[in-house]
Amino acid sequence: MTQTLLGLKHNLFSAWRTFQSERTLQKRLDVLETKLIHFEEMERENERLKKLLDFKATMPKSTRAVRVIGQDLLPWRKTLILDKGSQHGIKKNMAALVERGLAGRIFEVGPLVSRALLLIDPDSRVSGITEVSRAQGVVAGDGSETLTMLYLELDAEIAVGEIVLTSGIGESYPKGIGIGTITSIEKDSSGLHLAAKVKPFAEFSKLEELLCIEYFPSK
Amino acid sequence: MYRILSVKVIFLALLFTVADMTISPLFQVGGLRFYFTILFIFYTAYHNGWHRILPLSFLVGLLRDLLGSQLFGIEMMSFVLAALLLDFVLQKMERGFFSLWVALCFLFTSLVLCLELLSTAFLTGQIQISWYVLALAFGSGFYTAVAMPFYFAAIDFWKKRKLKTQQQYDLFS
Repeated sequence: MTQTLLGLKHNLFSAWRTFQSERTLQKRLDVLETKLIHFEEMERENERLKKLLDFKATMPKSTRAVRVIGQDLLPWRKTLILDKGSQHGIKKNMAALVERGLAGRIFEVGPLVSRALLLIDPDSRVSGITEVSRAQGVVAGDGSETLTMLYLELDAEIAVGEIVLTSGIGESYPKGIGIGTITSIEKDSSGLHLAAKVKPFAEFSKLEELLCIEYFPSK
Repeated sequence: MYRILSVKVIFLALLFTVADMTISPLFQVGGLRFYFTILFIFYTAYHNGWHRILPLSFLVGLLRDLLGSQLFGIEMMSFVLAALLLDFVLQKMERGFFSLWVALCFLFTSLVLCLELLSTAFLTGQIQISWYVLALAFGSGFYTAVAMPFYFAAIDFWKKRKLKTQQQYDLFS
Protein backbone atom coordinates (compact mmCIF):
# COMPACT_ATOMS: atom_id res chain seq x y z
CA MET A 1 0.00 0.00 0.00
CA THR A 2 2.80 2.34 1.04
CA GLN A 3 4.69 1.38 -2.11
CA THR A 4 1.64 2.17 -4.25
CA LEU A 5 1.16 5.56 -2.56
CA LEU A 6 4.86 6.37 -2.97
CA GLY A 7 4.68 5.32 -6.60
CA LEU A 8 1.60 7.49 -7.16
CA LYS A 9 3.30 10.45 -5.48
CA HIS A 10 6.38 9.91 -7.63
CA ASN A 11 4.24 9.74 -10.77
CA LEU A 12 2.34 12.88 -9.82
CA PHE A 13 5.58 14.79 -9.22
CA SER A 14 7.00 13.53 -12.45
CA ALA A 15 3.83 14.54 -14.35
CA TRP A 16 3.98 18.00 -12.74
CA ARG A 17 7.66 18.35 -13.70
CA THR A 18 6.85 17.31 -17.27
CA PHE A 19 4.03 19.84 -17.37
CA GLN A 20 6.33 22.58 -16.03
CA SER A 21 9.11 21.70 -18.45
CA GLU A 22 6.59 21.65 -21.34
CA ARG A 23 5.47 25.15 -20.38
CA THR A 24 9.08 26.35 -20.19
CA LEU A 25 9.86 24.78 -23.55
CA GLN A 26 6.72 26.29 -25.11
CA LYS A 27 7.82 29.74 -23.88
CA ARG A 28 11.29 29.21 -25.33
CA LEU A 29 9.72 28.03 -28.59
CA ASP A 30 7.61 31.22 -28.75
CA VAL A 31 10.71 33.36 -28.17
CA LEU A 32 12.66 31.45 -30.82
CA GLU A 33 9.80 31.69 -33.32
CA THR A 34 9.67 35.46 -32.80
CA LYS A 35 13.43 35.61 -33.30
CA LEU A 36 13.14 33.50 -36.44
CA ILE A 37 10.55 35.86 -37.92
CA HIS A 38 12.87 38.77 -37.06
CA PHE A 39 15.84 37.02 -38.72
CA GLU A 40 13.82 36.19 -41.81
CA GLU A 41 12.80 39.84 -42.08
CA MET A 42 16.45 40.86 -41.62
CA GLU A 43 17.48 38.42 -44.33
CA ARG A 44 14.93 39.88 -46.75
CA GLU A 45 16.08 43.42 -45.89
CA ASN A 46 19.68 42.33 -46.35
CA GLU A 47 18.88 40.99 -49.80
CA ARG A 48 17.11 44.22 -50.81
CA LEU A 49 19.96 46.37 -49.51
CA LYS A 50 22.54 44.18 -51.26
CA LYS A 51 20.73 44.69 -54.56
CA LEU A 52 20.60 48.43 -53.89
CA LEU A 53 24.31 48.40 -53.04
CA ASP A 54 25.15 46.57 -56.28
CA PHE A 55 23.11 49.16 -58.12
CA LYS A 56 24.84 51.96 -56.19
CA ALA A 57 28.23 50.64 -57.36
CA THR A 58 27.19 51.27 -60.96
CA MET A 59 26.34 54.92 -60.20
CA PRO A 60 29.13 57.38 -60.86
CA LYS A 61 27.49 60.20 -58.88
CA SER A 62 27.25 60.79 -55.15
CA THR A 63 24.47 58.64 -53.65
CA ARG A 64 22.54 58.39 -50.38
CA ALA A 65 20.43 55.42 -49.27
CA VAL A 66 17.18 56.33 -47.53
CA ARG A 67 14.38 54.41 -45.87
CA VAL A 68 10.66 55.03 -46.44
CA ILE A 69 8.93 55.96 -43.18
CA GLY A 70 5.57 57.27 -44.34
CA GLN A 71 3.22 58.26 -47.13
CA ASP A 72 1.07 61.22 -48.06
CA LEU A 73 -2.29 61.65 -46.34
CA LEU A 74 -4.37 61.61 -49.52
CA PRO A 75 -4.85 58.32 -51.39
CA TRP A 76 -4.31 59.85 -54.85
CA ARG A 77 -1.15 61.78 -53.91
CA LYS A 78 1.88 59.56 -54.40
CA THR A 79 4.58 61.01 -52.18
CA LEU A 80 6.77 59.30 -49.62
CA ILE A 81 8.33 60.52 -46.39
CA LEU A 82 11.98 59.53 -46.09
CA ASP A 83 14.10 59.11 -42.98
CA LYS A 84 16.93 61.44 -44.06
CA GLY A 85 17.07 65.19 -44.64
CA SER A 86 19.51 68.00 -45.37
CA GLN A 87 21.64 67.03 -42.34
CA HIS A 88 22.35 63.71 -44.07
CA GLY A 89 23.17 65.24 -47.44
CA ILE A 90 19.76 65.01 -49.11
CA LYS A 91 19.07 67.86 -51.50
CA LYS A 92 16.02 69.04 -53.39
CA ASN A 93 15.60 67.54 -56.89
CA MET A 94 17.84 64.52 -56.24
CA ALA A 95 16.65 61.53 -58.26
CA ALA A 96 15.22 58.65 -56.20
CA LEU A 97 15.95 55.19 -57.59
CA VAL A 98 15.28 51.56 -56.83
CA GLU A 99 17.44 48.71 -58.15
CA ARG A 100 15.17 48.24 -61.18
CA GLY A 101 14.92 51.88 -62.21
CA LEU A 102 13.61 55.34 -61.48
CA ALA A 103 11.10 55.87 -58.65
CA GLY A 104 10.82 59.67 -58.42
CA ARG A 105 12.60 62.74 -57.11
CA ILE A 106 13.10 64.62 -53.85
CA PHE A 107 10.79 67.65 -53.78
CA GLU A 108 10.89 68.81 -50.16
CA VAL A 109 13.79 68.66 -47.75
CA GLY A 110 13.74 69.21 -44.00
CA PRO A 111 16.69 68.91 -41.64
CA LEU A 112 15.86 65.33 -40.59
CA VAL A 113 13.29 64.07 -43.09
CA SER A 114 12.48 64.67 -46.74
CA ARG A 115 9.68 63.95 -49.19
CA ALA A 116 9.92 62.17 -52.52
CA LEU A 117 7.47 62.69 -55.36
CA LEU A 118 6.88 59.37 -57.10
CA LEU A 119 6.64 59.00 -60.88
CA ILE A 120 2.97 57.99 -60.58
CA ASP A 121 1.95 61.19 -58.76
CA PRO A 122 -0.35 63.45 -60.85
CA ASP A 123 2.29 66.23 -60.45
CA SER A 124 5.19 64.19 -61.78
CA ARG A 125 6.67 64.87 -65.24
CA VAL A 126 9.88 63.25 -66.55
CA SER A 127 11.49 63.68 -69.92
CA GLY A 128 11.77 60.20 -71.44
CA ILE A 129 13.17 58.51 -74.53
CA THR A 130 12.40 55.08 -75.98
CA GLU A 131 15.34 52.69 -76.05
CA VAL A 132 15.24 51.50 -79.68
CA SER A 133 13.28 54.08 -81.71
CA ARG A 134 14.73 57.05 -79.70
CA ALA A 135 11.36 58.82 -79.66
CA GLN A 136 11.19 61.53 -77.01
CA GLY A 137 8.21 62.40 -74.86
CA VAL A 138 7.10 63.37 -71.40
CA VAL A 139 6.33 60.59 -68.93
CA ALA A 140 3.49 61.68 -66.64
CA GLY A 141 1.73 60.10 -63.69
CA ASP A 142 -2.01 60.25 -62.98
CA GLY A 143 -2.25 58.74 -59.51
CA SER A 144 -2.83 55.19 -60.78
CA GLU A 145 -0.17 52.48 -61.03
CA THR A 146 0.60 53.15 -64.72
CA LEU A 147 2.37 56.04 -66.45
CA THR A 148 1.59 57.80 -69.72
CA MET A 149 4.24 58.91 -72.21
CA LEU A 150 2.86 62.06 -73.81
CA TYR A 151 3.70 64.25 -76.82
CA LEU A 152 5.19 61.48 -78.97
CA GLU A 153 5.41 62.32 -82.68
CA LEU A 154 2.68 60.71 -84.82
CA ASP A 155 5.31 59.06 -87.02
CA ALA A 156 7.40 57.79 -84.10
CA GLU A 157 8.24 54.12 -84.68
CA ILE A 158 7.61 52.98 -81.16
CA ALA A 159 6.43 49.49 -80.33
CA VAL A 160 4.69 47.75 -77.47
CA GLY A 161 7.30 46.19 -75.16
CA GLU A 162 9.91 48.85 -75.83
CA ILE A 163 11.75 50.20 -72.79
CA VAL A 164 11.47 53.87 -71.82
CA LEU A 165 14.53 55.54 -70.31
CA THR A 166 15.23 59.00 -68.89
CA SER A 167 16.44 61.35 -71.62
CA GLY A 168 18.73 63.41 -69.37
CA ILE A 169 16.90 66.65 -70.20
CA GLY A 170 16.19 68.67 -67.07
CA GLU A 171 17.94 69.03 -63.79
CA SER A 172 16.97 65.98 -61.79
CA TYR A 173 17.47 62.79 -63.72
CA PRO A 174 20.65 61.44 -65.32
CA LYS A 175 20.34 59.97 -68.83
CA GLY A 176 19.60 56.28 -69.36
CA ILE A 177 17.79 55.25 -66.20
CA GLY A 178 14.98 52.77 -66.80
CA ILE A 179 11.44 54.04 -66.30
CA GLY A 180 9.25 51.22 -67.61
CA THR A 181 7.92 49.26 -70.59
CA ILE A 182 5.36 50.43 -73.15
CA THR A 183 2.14 48.41 -72.88
CA SER A 184 -0.15 50.21 -75.35
CA ILE A 185 -0.05 53.06 -77.86
CA GLU A 186 -2.88 55.31 -79.06
CA LYS A 187 -3.51 58.84 -80.36
CA ASP A 188 -4.02 61.43 -77.63
CA SER A 189 -7.29 63.40 -77.27
CA SER A 190 -6.10 66.22 -79.58
CA GLY A 191 -5.09 63.73 -82.29
CA LEU A 192 -1.81 65.59 -82.83
CA HIS A 193 0.43 63.25 -80.85
CA LEU A 194 0.70 59.66 -79.74
CA ALA A 195 0.33 58.69 -76.10
CA ALA A 196 1.78 55.45 -74.77
CA LYS A 197 0.87 53.65 -71.56
CA VAL A 198 4.00 52.67 -69.64
CA LYS A 199 4.22 49.99 -66.96
CA PRO A 200 6.85 51.29 -64.51
CA PHE A 201 9.76 49.09 -63.41
CA ALA A 202 9.47 50.24 -59.80
CA GLU A 203 6.79 48.58 -57.69
CA PHE A 204 5.46 51.68 -55.96
CA SER A 205 3.33 49.87 -53.41
CA LYS A 206 6.34 47.92 -52.14
CA LEU A 207 8.98 50.64 -51.80
CA GLU A 208 10.97 50.37 -48.58
CA GLU A 209 14.41 51.76 -49.43
CA LEU A 210 15.51 54.24 -52.09
CA LEU A 211 18.80 55.45 -53.44
CA CYS A 212 19.04 59.21 -53.93
CA ILE A 213 21.55 60.42 -56.48
CA GLU A 214 22.85 63.88 -57.02
CA TYR A 215 22.69 65.08 -60.59
CA PHE A 216 22.71 68.79 -61.25
CA PRO A 217 24.34 69.20 -64.68
CA SER A 218 24.03 72.97 -64.93
CA LYS A 219 25.63 73.65 -61.53
CA MET B 1 -14.00 75.94 -27.06
CA TYR B 2 -11.18 75.85 -24.53
CA ARG B 3 -12.43 72.66 -22.91
CA ILE B 4 -13.00 70.94 -26.24
CA LEU B 5 -9.52 71.66 -27.56
CA SER B 6 -7.41 70.78 -24.53
CA VAL B 7 -3.69 70.00 -24.74
CA LYS B 8 -4.52 66.28 -24.49
CA VAL B 9 -6.89 66.47 -27.46
CA ILE B 10 -4.34 68.43 -29.52
CA PHE B 11 -1.64 65.88 -28.65
CA LEU B 12 -3.91 62.96 -29.59
CA ALA B 13 -4.92 64.63 -32.85
CA LEU B 14 -1.23 65.13 -33.69
CA LEU B 15 -0.47 61.52 -32.79
CA PHE B 16 -3.27 60.22 -35.01
CA THR B 17 -2.22 62.49 -37.89
CA VAL B 18 1.27 60.98 -37.72
CA ALA B 19 -0.34 57.51 -37.52
CA ASP B 20 -2.28 58.34 -40.72
CA MET B 21 1.03 58.94 -42.48
CA THR B 22 3.03 56.05 -41.05
CA ILE B 23 0.76 53.23 -39.81
CA SER B 24 -2.31 53.58 -42.02
CA PRO B 25 -0.36 52.90 -45.29
CA LEU B 26 0.61 49.50 -43.85
CA PHE B 27 -3.07 48.50 -43.89
CA GLN B 28 -3.62 49.85 -47.41
CA VAL B 29 -5.82 47.67 -49.63
CA GLY B 30 -5.55 48.43 -53.35
CA GLY B 31 -4.76 52.09 -52.68
CA LEU B 32 -7.63 52.45 -50.17
CA ARG B 33 -6.74 53.83 -46.75
CA PHE B 34 -8.54 54.37 -43.48
CA TYR B 35 -7.98 57.45 -41.38
CA PHE B 36 -7.17 57.38 -37.67
CA THR B 37 -7.88 61.12 -37.44
CA ILE B 38 -11.47 60.73 -38.69
CA LEU B 39 -12.04 57.78 -36.36
CA PHE B 40 -10.66 59.89 -33.52
CA ILE B 41 -13.12 62.71 -34.37
CA PHE B 42 -16.02 60.25 -34.45
CA TYR B 43 -14.99 58.49 -31.24
CA THR B 44 -14.84 61.81 -29.38
CA ALA B 45 -18.14 62.96 -30.89
CA TYR B 46 -19.85 59.63 -30.13
CA HIS B 47 -18.85 59.70 -26.47
CA ASN B 48 -18.85 63.44 -25.76
CA GLY B 49 -21.43 64.93 -28.08
CA TRP B 50 -21.94 65.81 -31.75
CA HIS B 51 -21.09 69.49 -31.11
CA ARG B 52 -17.41 68.48 -30.91
CA ILE B 53 -17.31 67.54 -34.58
CA LEU B 54 -16.69 71.09 -35.80
CA PRO B 55 -13.79 72.22 -33.55
CA LEU B 56 -12.15 68.80 -33.88
CA SER B 57 -12.50 68.89 -37.66
CA PHE B 58 -10.87 72.32 -37.66
CA LEU B 59 -7.98 71.06 -35.51
CA VAL B 60 -7.43 67.87 -37.51
CA GLY B 61 -7.64 69.79 -40.81
CA LEU B 62 -5.06 72.30 -39.56
CA LEU B 63 -2.67 69.56 -38.43
CA ARG B 64 -3.06 67.68 -41.71
CA ASP B 65 -2.35 70.91 -43.58
CA LEU B 66 0.79 71.48 -41.52
CA LEU B 67 2.10 67.93 -41.99
CA GLY B 68 0.80 67.22 -45.50
CA SER B 69 2.21 68.26 -48.86
CA GLN B 70 -0.84 69.84 -50.51
CA LEU B 71 -1.75 73.52 -50.76
CA PHE B 72 -2.13 74.95 -47.24
CA GLY B 73 -5.75 75.35 -46.21
CA ILE B 74 -7.32 72.69 -48.44
CA GLU B 75 -7.49 70.04 -45.69
CA MET B 76 -8.83 72.47 -43.08
CA MET B 77 -11.44 73.85 -45.46
CA SER B 78 -12.58 70.37 -46.51
CA PHE B 79 -12.85 69.06 -42.95
CA VAL B 80 -14.76 72.12 -41.68
CA LEU B 81 -17.08 72.18 -44.71
CA ALA B 82 -17.83 68.46 -44.39
CA ALA B 83 -18.57 68.87 -40.68
CA LEU B 84 -20.85 71.87 -41.33
CA LEU B 85 -22.70 70.10 -44.16
CA LEU B 86 -23.22 66.94 -42.14
CA ASP B 87 -24.33 68.95 -39.12
CA PHE B 88 -26.80 70.91 -41.25
CA VAL B 89 -28.26 67.79 -42.86
CA LEU B 90 -28.51 65.82 -39.61
CA GLN B 91 -29.81 68.54 -37.28
CA LYS B 92 -33.11 66.84 -36.57
CA MET B 93 -31.97 63.27 -36.81
CA GLU B 94 -31.70 60.91 -33.85
CA ARG B 95 -28.11 59.66 -33.78
CA GLY B 96 -28.51 56.98 -31.10
CA PHE B 97 -27.78 53.89 -33.17
CA PHE B 98 -24.18 52.83 -33.67
CA SER B 99 -24.86 51.65 -37.24
CA LEU B 100 -26.00 55.19 -38.06
CA TRP B 101 -22.66 56.49 -36.75
CA VAL B 102 -20.85 54.03 -39.05
CA ALA B 103 -22.89 55.38 -41.97
CA LEU B 104 -22.10 58.95 -40.87
CA CYS B 105 -18.40 58.06 -40.75
CA PHE B 106 -18.59 56.80 -44.35
CA LEU B 107 -20.40 59.97 -45.44
CA PHE B 108 -18.00 62.26 -43.60
CA THR B 109 -14.81 60.58 -44.92
CA SER B 110 -16.12 60.45 -48.49
CA LEU B 111 -17.25 64.06 -48.27
CA VAL B 112 -13.89 65.25 -46.92
CA LEU B 113 -11.98 63.40 -49.64
CA CYS B 114 -14.33 64.59 -52.41
CA LEU B 115 -14.04 68.19 -51.21
CA GLU B 116 -10.25 67.84 -51.13
CA LEU B 117 -10.33 66.39 -54.61
CA LEU B 118 -12.55 69.17 -55.95
CA SER B 119 -10.59 71.98 -54.30
CA THR B 120 -7.25 70.53 -55.47
CA ALA B 121 -8.59 70.14 -59.00
CA PHE B 122 -10.06 73.65 -59.22
CA LEU B 123 -7.56 75.62 -57.15
CA THR B 124 -4.32 74.05 -58.27
CA GLY B 125 -5.24 72.04 -61.37
CA GLN B 126 -2.83 69.34 -60.18
CA ILE B 127 -5.28 66.50 -60.52
CA GLN B 128 -8.00 65.53 -62.97
CA ILE B 129 -11.23 64.20 -61.58
CA SER B 130 -11.61 60.67 -62.86
CA TRP B 131 -13.53 57.54 -61.89
CA TYR B 132 -10.32 56.18 -60.41
CA VAL B 133 -9.81 59.01 -57.90
CA LEU B 134 -13.53 59.12 -57.08
CA ALA B 135 -13.39 55.37 -56.39
CA LEU B 136 -10.40 56.02 -54.12
CA ALA B 137 -12.36 58.69 -52.21
CA PHE B 138 -15.51 56.61 -51.69
CA GLY B 139 -13.53 53.39 -51.18
CA SER B 140 -11.44 55.03 -48.45
CA GLY B 141 -14.68 56.29 -46.88
CA PHE B 142 -16.04 52.75 -46.86
CA TYR B 143 -12.78 51.35 -45.46
CA THR B 144 -12.74 53.95 -42.65
CA ALA B 145 -16.36 53.10 -41.78
CA VAL B 146 -15.50 49.37 -41.72
CA ALA B 147 -12.52 50.08 -39.43
CA MET B 148 -14.68 52.16 -37.07
CA PRO B 149 -16.09 49.33 -34.85
CA PHE B 150 -12.59 47.85 -34.46
CA TYR B 151 -11.12 51.24 -33.57
CA PHE B 152 -13.90 51.90 -31.02
CA ALA B 153 -13.43 48.43 -29.47
CA ALA B 154 -9.64 48.88 -29.25
CA ILE B 155 -9.91 52.33 -27.61
CA ASP B 156 -12.63 51.11 -25.21
CA PHE B 157 -10.48 48.13 -24.25
CA TRP B 158 -7.44 50.36 -23.68
CA LYS B 159 -9.46 52.86 -21.62
CA LYS B 160 -10.96 50.06 -19.51
CA ARG B 161 -7.51 48.64 -18.78
CA LYS B 162 -6.26 52.10 -17.87
CA LEU B 163 -9.22 52.57 -15.52
CA LYS B 164 -8.61 49.21 -13.82
CA THR B 165 -5.03 50.07 -12.99
CA GLN B 166 -6.08 53.30 -11.28
CA GLN B 167 -6.69 53.36 -7.54
CA GLN B 168 -10.22 54.06 -6.34
CA TYR B 169 -9.24 57.40 -4.85
CA ASP B 170 -7.61 58.47 -8.15
CA LEU B 171 -11.02 58.55 -9.76
CA PHE B 172 -12.18 61.32 -7.42
CA SER B 173 -9.07 63.41 -7.50
